[in-house]
Amino acid sequence: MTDPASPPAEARSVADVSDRQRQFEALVRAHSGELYRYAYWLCGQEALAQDLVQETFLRAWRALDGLREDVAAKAWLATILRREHARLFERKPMPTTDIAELDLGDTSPGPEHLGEDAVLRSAISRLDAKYREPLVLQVLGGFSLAEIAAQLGISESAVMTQVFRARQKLKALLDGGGKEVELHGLP
Amino acid sequence: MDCLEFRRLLGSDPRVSDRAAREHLEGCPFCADAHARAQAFENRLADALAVPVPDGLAERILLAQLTAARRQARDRRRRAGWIALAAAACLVLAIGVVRHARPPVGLADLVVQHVTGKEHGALRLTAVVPAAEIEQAFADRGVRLASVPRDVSYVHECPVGAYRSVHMVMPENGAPVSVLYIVDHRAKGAATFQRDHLQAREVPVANGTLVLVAPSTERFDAIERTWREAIEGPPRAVVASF
Repeated sequence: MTDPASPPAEARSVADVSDRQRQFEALVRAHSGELYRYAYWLCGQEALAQDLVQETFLRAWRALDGLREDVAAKAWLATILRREHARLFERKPMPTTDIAELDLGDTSPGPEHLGEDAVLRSAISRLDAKYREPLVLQVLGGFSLAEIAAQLGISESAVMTQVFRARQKLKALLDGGGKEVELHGLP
Repeated sequence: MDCLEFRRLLGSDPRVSDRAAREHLEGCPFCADAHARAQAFENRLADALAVPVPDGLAERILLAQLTAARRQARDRRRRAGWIALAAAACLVLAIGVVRHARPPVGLADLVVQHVTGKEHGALRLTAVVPAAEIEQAFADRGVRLASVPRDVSYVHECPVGAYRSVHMVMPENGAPVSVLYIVDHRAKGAATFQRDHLQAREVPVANGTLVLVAPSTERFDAIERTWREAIEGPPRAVVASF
């Protein structure tokens, strides 16, 4: 005997498909822009970034039933995108340096005073991928150091080193010098 | 936390989420100044990283997804169709193979199997069966005999496969002939066949089929005539001549 209060199986199936589609659309609208920017800074090409984002979402659609929590969606999508990008470029593992080895002396003025966004973007694009990617995840994605470490499959201290060095190198590039400058120097 | 530790942390985590760092920040004007500069840089960095998103990106992704989903559904349907077709073809092939391996068992084969099988002992009987028993056997099968042939040494109502028959043996001169009248199947025409060392003939008679089986066909014509007259009655031409 069927429960008169529950809809028939066909109606439930249609409803499931519809819910799934709605969930997917919500994901696309919430994260496609952010994911595109991440893709852009990974590959440096607008058209390729769009392809990467589209392929990422198509894979996400196929695996959508595996996404249990909406709060994890951004990290999940970023992971898919990284894998898509890796498939294209077969990146090698990134060497890391501990942050304690870095020179933390002082004093140059901050890059925030030096030029426009275009200059800064140019400087970001000239960073090595191993510095640029964790920086993008941190600043653009809002991920914590621990989350970035999990995404990249490296230690948290390695992430700290890379984002620290990324900022240091940015300052050096913006200053027009090849030598890395020191960040937030002591008085 | 001291200033050195704070500056290290500021370079890697400008949001200063660590509680000890925030406490240090509140009590150190120099680090507070460094923090303000860092925040300004972070804001500019965030602006620089936020490259323009192409117009209609989300719509293009959704369109691609819908297209892919429809293509998948269509491919699934096609695959299911091919699978069903392949299954049907396999079934037809299997039936064909089975039929080829086991040729259809016809009436002639059934009769030969019957007379050479468990009824084989009937061929050794020689005592004549009373005419009443023969009449009764045919009557039980719904056939009224016009006359009762003599020289029958065995009579029995036998099932032959799915057919109902009256099985008899005519043992003349030590060369017995098995005679079966199939009451519920009329052959389309006369036919002769051979199985191993046996000769056989099947002929339509009245509403049934008369089947004769023996090592030789020598007596077939005479026996056929005898049983045709017994079942169908005398030939019309003969009746007319009277």
